[in-house]
Amino acid sequence: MATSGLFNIGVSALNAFQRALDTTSHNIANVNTPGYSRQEVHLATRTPQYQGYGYVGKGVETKTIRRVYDGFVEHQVRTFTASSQELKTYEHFATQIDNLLADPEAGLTPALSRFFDAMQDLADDPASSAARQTVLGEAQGLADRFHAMDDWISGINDQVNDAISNSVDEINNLTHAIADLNQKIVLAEGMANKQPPNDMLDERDKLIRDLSQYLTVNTQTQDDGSINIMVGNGQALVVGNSVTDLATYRAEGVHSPLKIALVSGSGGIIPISDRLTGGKVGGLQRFREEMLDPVANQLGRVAVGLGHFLNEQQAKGMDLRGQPGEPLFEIGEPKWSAFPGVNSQLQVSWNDIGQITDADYKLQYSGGSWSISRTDTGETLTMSGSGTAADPFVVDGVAIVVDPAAVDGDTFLIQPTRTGALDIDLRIHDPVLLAAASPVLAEADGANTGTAEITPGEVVDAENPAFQTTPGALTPPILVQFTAADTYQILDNSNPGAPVVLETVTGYDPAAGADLFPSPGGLDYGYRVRLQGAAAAGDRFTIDYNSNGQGDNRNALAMADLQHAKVLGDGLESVSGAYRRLVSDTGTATRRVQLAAGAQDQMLQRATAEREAASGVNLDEEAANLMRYQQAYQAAAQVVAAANEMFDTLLAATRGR
Amino acid sequence: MNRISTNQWYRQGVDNMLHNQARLSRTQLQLATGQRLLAPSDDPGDASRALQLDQLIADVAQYQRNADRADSRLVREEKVLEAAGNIFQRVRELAVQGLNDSYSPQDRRAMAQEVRENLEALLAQANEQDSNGEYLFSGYRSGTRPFEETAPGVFEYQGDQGQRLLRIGAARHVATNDPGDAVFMNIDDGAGGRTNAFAILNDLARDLEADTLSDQVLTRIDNAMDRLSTVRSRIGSRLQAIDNQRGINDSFRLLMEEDRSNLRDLDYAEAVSRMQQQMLMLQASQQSFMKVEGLSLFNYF
Repeated sequence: MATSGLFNIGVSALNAFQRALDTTSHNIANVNTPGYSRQEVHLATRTPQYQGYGYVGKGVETKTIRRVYDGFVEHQVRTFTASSQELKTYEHFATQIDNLLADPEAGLTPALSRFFDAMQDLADDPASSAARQTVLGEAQGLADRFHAMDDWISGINDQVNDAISNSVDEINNLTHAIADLNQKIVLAEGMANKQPPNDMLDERDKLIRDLSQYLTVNTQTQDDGSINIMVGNGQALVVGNSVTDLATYRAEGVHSPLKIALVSGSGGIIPISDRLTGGKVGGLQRFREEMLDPVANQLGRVAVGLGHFLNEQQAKGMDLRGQPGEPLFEIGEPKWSAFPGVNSQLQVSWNDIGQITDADYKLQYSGGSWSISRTDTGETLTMSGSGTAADPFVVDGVAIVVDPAAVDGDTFLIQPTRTGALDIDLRIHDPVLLAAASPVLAEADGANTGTAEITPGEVVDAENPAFQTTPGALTPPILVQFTAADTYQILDNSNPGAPVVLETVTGYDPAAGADLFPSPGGLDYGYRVRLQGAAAAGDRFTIDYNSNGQGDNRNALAMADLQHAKVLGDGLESVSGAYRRLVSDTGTATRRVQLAAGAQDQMLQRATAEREAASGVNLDEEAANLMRYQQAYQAAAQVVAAANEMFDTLLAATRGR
Repeated sequence: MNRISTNQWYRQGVDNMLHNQARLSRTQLQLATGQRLLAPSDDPGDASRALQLDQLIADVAQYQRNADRADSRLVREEKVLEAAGNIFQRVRELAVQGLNDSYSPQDRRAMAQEVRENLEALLAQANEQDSNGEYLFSGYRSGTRPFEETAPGVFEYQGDQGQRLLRIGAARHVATNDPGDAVFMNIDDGAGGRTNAFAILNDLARDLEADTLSDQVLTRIDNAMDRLSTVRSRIGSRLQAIDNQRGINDSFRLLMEEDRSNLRDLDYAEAVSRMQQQMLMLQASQQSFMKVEGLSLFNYF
């Protein structure tokens, strides 16, 4: 009895230390395996045997082999992986935009400067065909620059789409692998009497951590050992061994952005993009919404604003043929698109470009009325008008005509300036068509005896019938004649032999001067002319079409002034100011996301360190264990040897009798 | 933390090196480009201000170009007016001679001949064109010959009163021409009426030929010369204004350039010492990594 007890104890120890040495070796072998948690052998005494004099120990047994694992720390690692990856992805793309805008040669500023410099050179020399050709060349350069920047934004947009599509593929691969492991783990635990299949558990945790690189997931551990994976607000991707796949689809809007949906059992799709956060997917979506789309809109707004106001000024001018200026640039119309399943139509046009913003809008028909909100802030805006062609809805400088056939729930996305940079194009190619001159010229009669002076005149409304009735002439030409020092007549000078009095104005104050139009009686011919100084009875002033005025540069000066004129943002922002804001907004957002990405990375590193501190393999520790268990194994072998010797001794004694 | 995994230890060493390397590489890039701001995100406010300064500086350069052009146009106009003044000077001498009883009618006819030649010269000056073929004195109608003798002895102005302005400063324009009617036409004839520079010469020649010259002609010539010198002094003050504005533009540009340099340019001394410090840190992290990585209990087996 005694010897066999000793033998058994020795063997139990040999076995136990063999397991311990196995485990130590396994730990050493997996020191570089990603996701590996070190394993520990849990030893316990065997159930002792009661003898009359007490309990006799029966050796050691291996209870279990467990990985060192902290579920809370693992959860933190997942959470910070998702948030850190989100910001890193955002940062990666934001930095691309930031760097492009940083390049002084690649941005819009040099092209803008060159164009306006050329315009001033034209003002210096309005009849010069070389100066005119240069303006057209720089105008083309400006349009090209807008196109290049748009092209480059589209390129990043494609990159984002590709990354989303790749992410969805990866997510599907990972969820299938997780479901597969779920099944294996349930089976393994069932067969092994609930002993943990450590390496499989590690592998699954590693997969879930990988999944967190793509999006934020929630997990639920089930009693059978499987883990369910949820995204958004509770949509299940993995339940046990079954998977709900993700898919991409083209959503409404310019360039039809790629979005993500759940594939439902019936094969249909359930859009889920808005609810997915964290990870690469979250970062890509945030970058697109918070930076890429706004940059495209801001750039588009600069293009639309610049094109429109130059066109407007060009229309107020007179070209080298003596004709009203034709539009210099082609500018795009506001873009709109219907949400899926919507059959009614919209007509969207510019109403007042001085008021347009860089926002996108969601227009919705609900409960018999239309409402509109900004997509970035969600703020509901008030529209004027009734939405008919005669009285369109007007909001933020955009006019909207809705379809009477619209049904409840019809929703539209309006992106007024999204393609502005793409749409702008040079429209005139003949240098003669640049309207450097102004079509109106007011002059004092050389025989005047007073000292009153008249300004040459400035067009405010080229649509006025005075200009439109006969292109290339003023209808009517005007004669202003003083009948007394403080009284003048405004006459229709169509027939200089017999001018016709249109209005008599009294109370002219030579010190204050007077705007001739709009006259006190309401005459308004779409231009402004100012008289100042003392006039004498008989003094005459004429206002006529600026025929042959090829040396006139007034309109070129006015166009050059548009570089700094605050024409956008309701008179608060210049075109170049709007571009500068784009640069500084992008810089600020990039800086913010860089800082946040750095901070989040620190959090991830800390959580990873915590996880490593608990679960990571330390080779020195394993070396020490190796020695410890080796020594114990040698000692146990000595026990077996001792039992053997005792047995031999006993055998020899019995034989000798 | 009283336990650290072997991987973590390794990772930390490597991360330290990478971090120090990244910082060094940034400083290196700054030194290579001479730029403090490598991207707008480095300092969005400063980057936007630097862009604005770029534009202001470019604007000033354009204003200086405009000022140069305005200057050369005005100098050109002044030369014409000087020549016209000389013509009148000579004509006045002839008129004084013509009024002198000691000359014969034949002498006066010879004088008339010279006056007519001077009239041609004056017309040529008043119809002077610039290097682009644009007439100096026809206002906006720079393609229209401003002065024509529409009937014998009748001179008419075909231009308009347009005055071309150039921008020579952020808030400063200067006129670069004077319409011809304000220079050569509507001159007080000394008898309550109006005449013009060409008619004065034409009438003088006619009166010399007809031997009917009266001393009223001197008043007219003086009035015309007064007019020319008034216009010339106006041009002089414009040229003065351009000169002043150039000075203002230059000092403004210097100020803006200094401002921009402060925003954008690298402080080399600071950057070089920063680079040395960062190199030292990288070296230290590399050395400590090499030393520490060699430590292992297995070395003693």
